[in-house]
Amino acid sequence: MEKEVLQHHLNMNRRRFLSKLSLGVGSVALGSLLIPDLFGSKDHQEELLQRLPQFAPKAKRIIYLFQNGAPSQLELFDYKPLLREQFGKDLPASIRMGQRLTGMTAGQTKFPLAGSFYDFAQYGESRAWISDLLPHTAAIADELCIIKSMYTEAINHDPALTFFQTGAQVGNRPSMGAWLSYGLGSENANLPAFCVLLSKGKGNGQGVYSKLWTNGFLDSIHQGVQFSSSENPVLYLNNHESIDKADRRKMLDELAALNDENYKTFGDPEISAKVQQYEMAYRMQTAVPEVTDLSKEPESVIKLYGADCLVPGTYAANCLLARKLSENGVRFVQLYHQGWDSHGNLPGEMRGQCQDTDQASAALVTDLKQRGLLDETLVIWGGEFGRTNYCQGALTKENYGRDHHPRCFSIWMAGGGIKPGVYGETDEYGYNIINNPVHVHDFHATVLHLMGMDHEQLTFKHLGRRYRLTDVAGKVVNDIIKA
Amino acid sequence: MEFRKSLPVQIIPGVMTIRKNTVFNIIFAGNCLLLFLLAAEKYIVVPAWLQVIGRMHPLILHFPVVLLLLNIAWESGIFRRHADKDWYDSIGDGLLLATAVTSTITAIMGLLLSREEGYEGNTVMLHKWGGILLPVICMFWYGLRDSLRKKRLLYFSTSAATLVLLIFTGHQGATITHGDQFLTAPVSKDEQQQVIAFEDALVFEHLVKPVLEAKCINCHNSQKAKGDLIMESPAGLLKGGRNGILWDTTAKDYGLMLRRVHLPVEDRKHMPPKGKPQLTEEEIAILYHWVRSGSSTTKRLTELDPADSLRILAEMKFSTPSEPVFEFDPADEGTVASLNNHYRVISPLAAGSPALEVNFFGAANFTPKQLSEILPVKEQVISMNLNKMPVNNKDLEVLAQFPNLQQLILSFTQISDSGLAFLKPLTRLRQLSLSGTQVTAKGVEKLSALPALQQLYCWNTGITLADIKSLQHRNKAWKIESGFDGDTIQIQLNAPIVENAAQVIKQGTPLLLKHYVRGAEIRYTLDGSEPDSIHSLKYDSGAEISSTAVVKSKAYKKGWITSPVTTRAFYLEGKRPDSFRLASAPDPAYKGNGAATLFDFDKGDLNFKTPKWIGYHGRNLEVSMDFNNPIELSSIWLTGLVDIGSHIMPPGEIQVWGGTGSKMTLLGKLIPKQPSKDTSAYQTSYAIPIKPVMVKNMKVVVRPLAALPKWHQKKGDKTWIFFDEMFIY
Repeated sequence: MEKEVLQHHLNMNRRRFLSKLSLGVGSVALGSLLIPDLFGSKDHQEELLQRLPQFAPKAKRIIYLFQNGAPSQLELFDYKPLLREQFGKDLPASIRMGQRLTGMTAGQTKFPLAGSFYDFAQYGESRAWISDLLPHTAAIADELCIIKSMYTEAINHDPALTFFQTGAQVGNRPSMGAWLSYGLGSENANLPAFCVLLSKGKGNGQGVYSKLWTNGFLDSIHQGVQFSSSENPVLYLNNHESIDKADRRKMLDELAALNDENYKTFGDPEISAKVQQYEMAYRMQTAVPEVTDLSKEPESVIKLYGADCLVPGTYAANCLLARKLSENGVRFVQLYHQGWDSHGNLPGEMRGQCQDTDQASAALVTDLKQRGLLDETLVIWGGEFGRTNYCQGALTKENYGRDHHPRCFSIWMAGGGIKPGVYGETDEYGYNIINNPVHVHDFHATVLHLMGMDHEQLTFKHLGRRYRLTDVAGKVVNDIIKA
Repeated sequence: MEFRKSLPVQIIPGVMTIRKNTVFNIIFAGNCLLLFLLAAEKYIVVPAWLQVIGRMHPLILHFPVVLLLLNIAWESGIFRRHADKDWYDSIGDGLLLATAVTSTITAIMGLLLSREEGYEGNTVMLHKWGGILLPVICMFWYGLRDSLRKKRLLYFSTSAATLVLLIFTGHQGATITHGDQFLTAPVSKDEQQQVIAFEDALVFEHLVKPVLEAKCINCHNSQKAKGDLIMESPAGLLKGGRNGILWDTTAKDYGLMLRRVHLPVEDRKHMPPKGKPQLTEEEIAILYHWVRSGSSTTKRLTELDPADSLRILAEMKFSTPSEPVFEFDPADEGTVASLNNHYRVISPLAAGSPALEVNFFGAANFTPKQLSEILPVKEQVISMNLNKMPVNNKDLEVLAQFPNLQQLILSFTQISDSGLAFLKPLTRLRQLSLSGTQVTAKGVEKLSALPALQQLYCWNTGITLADIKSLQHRNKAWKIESGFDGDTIQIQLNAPIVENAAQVIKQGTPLLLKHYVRGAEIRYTLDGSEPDSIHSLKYDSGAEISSTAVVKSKAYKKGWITSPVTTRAFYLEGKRPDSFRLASAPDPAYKGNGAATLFDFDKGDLNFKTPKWIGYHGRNLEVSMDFNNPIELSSIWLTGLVDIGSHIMPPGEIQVWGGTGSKMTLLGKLIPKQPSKDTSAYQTSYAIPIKPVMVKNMKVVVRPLAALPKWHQKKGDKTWIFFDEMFIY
C-alpha cells in the first residue's frame, strides 16, 4: 500500500497540481470574466482542444512526398543553360560570395561548373521548365506550383531533414504531422491522424529516423505511425489465430474495467489515454485491411501508378497507399524515399531515382484529381536542400557529382488551395535566389495556413514558453494560394 | 462647512462681483468678435500663428462641454440640499461665466480652423452654427440668470434646448474628425462586406472606386469639395475641379490626377497631401492603368485581356483570402455532438462557422439510416463525402433534402442514372464527384437543372470522352474531369518476383514465381535463354526445379508491354567432402568461416563483407578435399563475385586436380572470361566440366588475375577473388 501511495504522489506532479489549482480558483473568480487573462483560464491550448481549423481551410489533408537525400534542382526544375555554356569553368567568387560549403568540397581548389546532363523543355500554362527525367511530372505541370526559391539554414542531411520536419535543427520538437494532429485532430477515429511510409531507391541513401515523425513534447497520440514496407503494413494488428473478434472484444472490455479501476485510484490521464489507444487498435483491425486492400483498385489505377504500385515497400506502392489513407481521413501522410544524395555518379543515380518516383508522384496528383479530392488534399514534393552548381569530384561530360546546397532548391506543391505556376527565381548560375525567397519557416506557415491554422496561434506551452512549428519566424506566402 | 470658507467668493463678495462683471464684458466682446468673424468670414486670411491657435480647437472644446453639463446640473438644484442659497447661486454664477468664456474661446478657435482648406460642406456648416449659438446662449443665460432661477419652466426649457444643441454640435464636430457613421459603425449591421466574385466585378466599381474612397473622397466629396473636385461619382470625376479635368490620355503624364499623384510627397501639389494616408504602389498602378486604358466606368474585369496589367492587378486583389459567408444559423452543438460517431464525422468548417461537413468512414458500418439520422442538421451541411459507401439511388432522395449542400462526393457508390434525378433540389451544389459509379451521359444530362454546378468528376464511369464533349458543349459552366483512361495507354509490366529464398536446392524444389498484377502470365526458361510468350514454359504453381539452372522469367498481359526479364540461378546441392582444408588462410578481413564457407550451401549476396564470402588479395585460393569413399566426379561449380570498383575480378585460371591415391592428376581447368569496363557488380559461377572419373582426394586451385586491366583506374594493382560456394557433382 505504501508503494501505491508513493505512486499516487508521483502521478500528481507539480504541473498538474498547479494547473488543477488554477482551474479551481479561476472558475470561482468572477474577475476573470472581465479580464480573461487574469487567471490564464482561457488558454490557446484549451481553445485548441476544440480541434477545429481557426478559419475555413483550403486543404483538409496533406500527403508529403519527401525526397530524402536532396534531389538536384539543376537536373529537375531549375533550368540553367549558362552552366552548360560555362562547363568546367570555375564558379565566380562574385556568385559564391564566400558562403559556407560542406566539409566534403570545402577542400576543393576548384569549383568547376557542371551543366545538367539532361535536357529541359517547357510545359503547361506557366511554361515551367521541367527536365526530360520527369515526363510524367511534366504532364501534370498545370496542377503544380513549382517553387524554385526554397532555402534552408542547414547544410547537412540530418539537421536539414529535422528542420524541414520539425521547424528546428535539433531533434526534440514535434514533427509537422504531429502539430497538425494536435491542432486538427483525427478526421477518422479508426486510423491514426499521422502515418509514415518509407521506401528506398538505388541511389546513394541517407537515413530516416523515427525522430522525424516524433510527437516531441506533444501528447504521444500525435506521434506518426510508421507503416511497415511488408505485405502487412501494420504489424501485430491481426488477431492471433487462436483469438477471434468476440474474444478480443471481451478481453478489451475486461482490460478496460481493470484500467478504469486503476484510473479511479491514481487519476493518471495516461491510463485513459491507453484505454483509448487499445480501442483504436481494435477499430483499426477492420479499418486497416479495408484501406490497404488493393484488390478492388481498377486496372487503370494500377497503370496510372505503374505496376510497381502492387509491390509492397516500393515508392509507387506507398503513393497508392498514401492516397488510400488520405481518402480515408488520415490528416498527414508522410512518405520518405531515400537515395537522392548524388555526390558522385549523379546522372546515373538521378535516372534511377526518377524512374522510381516520377510516374507514381504524378499519378497521385492525377488520381486525387479524378476523384474530386485534389482540391482538399495538399500534395508536397521535395527534399531537404538543393545541390551545388559546381561538381564534386571528377567532372566529365557524362559523369559528375554535386554537393549539398542550402541556398536555393526547388520543390512543388499541388492541390489543396495551391495556385499552380512557377514561384521564385534563382540567378543564372543557380546559386543564389534573386526573387521571392521562401524559407522553411515560410513553407511551414503557408502549409498551416492552407489547413486553416494561423501558425502564430498554433502553440504549445512547454518548459515555460509557448512553442510553434515556425518558432518565432515564418510568413505565409499568399502569392501561391488560390483565391 | 470648512471648504465653503476657503472659497474666495465667500470671503470677498464685493471684489468677486466686480471681477464677474469684467469677465462678462470680455464675454460680450468675444461674442461680438465671433459674430464679426462670422460675417467677415470670406475676407479673412488667417496668419500662420493664428492657425496654431485654431488647430487647438479640438483640445479646448472639451472644457465648455463639461462646464456646460455641470452648469445645467448645478442650476437644476440637485446639489443644493441644505446649502445656503446665496452661496449656491454664486457658485452657479461662476460656473455659468466659465462656460460662457470657454465656449466663446472655443468657437473663435473653431472659426479660425474652419478657414483652413478642406472644411466645407454641410456638416461643417451645421457645426459652425451650433458652435456660435452656444456661447451666445450662455451669455444670455448669464445675463438673465436671476429670472431663470425663479421660473423653473423657463430654466428647464433653456437647459433642455442647450443640451440638445450641445449634443448636436458635438456630434457634428466628431463626424468631421472621425468620419461619417463612426459612432454607429460597430453596431450597424448593413456594413457586412459583400464578397464579389472576380467574375462579377466591374473595373470602376470594384477596383478603382475603392481606391478613391479610401484615399481621395475624404476631401473631394460633396460635403467638402476641395479644389471644387467631387470624386464620388463618375460624373464628378469627368467634370474635374477648379484646376481642370482629371485626365488626358494624349498627355505624356496622362493629365492632372496622375501628375499630382506622381509628384514628390514634399511638393505642395502632391496628392494626397503630405500627412494624409498615401496611395500604395498597387493603388497608384490601378489608377494609372485605368486611366491609360480609357477610364471606363462600365467594363467588367473579365472583359479585360488576360495579359492586361489591370486584370493582373485585379486578380491579385481579388485573391485575398476571404472567409465564406453563410446565411443560416449554426446547428445546436449538442445535436451535432450526438450525431458524431466513429464512422460518421460531422464537424464545423472552422471554429465559429455555422457550416458543417459530413464524412463517412468504414463501408461495413454504413446503413441508409446513417444518412436520414443527420436530417436535423440538414440546413447546415454544406459538404458530404460518401466515397465508397454502399449508397444507392434511394438514398439520394434523402440527400436531396440538404438544401445548402455545395460539395457531394459519391465516388465508388452504387448509384446509377435513375438516382441522379433526385438531386434536382440541390440548387447550391457546386461540386459533384461521380467517379467510379455506373452513371452514363444520360443520367448526367439531368444535372443541367442544377444552377450552381461547376465541377463534375466522371472518371471511371459509363461516360465516354465523346459524351463529355457534348455535355461540355451544352453546359458551358461545367468543368468536367474525365481522369486517366488506362485502356488507351500501354505501360510496361514489372518483372516477375522469385520468391524462393534459397538458391541452393534439393531435387524437386518448387519454383516460386510471383507477379502482383492480376491476370499477368509468367513464362520462363531453365536453360538461360530469353523467355518468349509462345515457346517458353508457362508458369503454374506446380513448377519445380531439379537441376542446377538459370531461371529466366518474364510477365505478359494483354494491354501491357511485356516485362523485363528476371534472372535467378539455382544450384543443386553437390556432394559434400568428408574433410576439407585451405592451403593458405584467406585475407583476414574476409575470412568467412574458412573452408567451411564453401560447403555450407548458403550463398552470399552482392555484399562481400558478410561471412558468407572468403576473399584473397593477389594470392591463390587452394582447397583440398577428401572423401572416405571414392565418388564419381563429373563437374565442379565455383560461385563467385565480380565487383570492378572494389577490384574484385574473375580469377585468371581455375584448376581441378584429383585422384584415388596419394597422387593427383589435373582433371580439368578453366580460364574465365573477363568483364568489360563499365560492368556493375554481379554474382557469377564458373563451371569446370570433367570427364567422369572416380576420385577420393581432390584439390581446386584458383589463381587470381595477375593485375588489374589497363582500362582500370588502378591498373596494374593486385586483384581480389571472392567465392561463396563450391558444388561437386
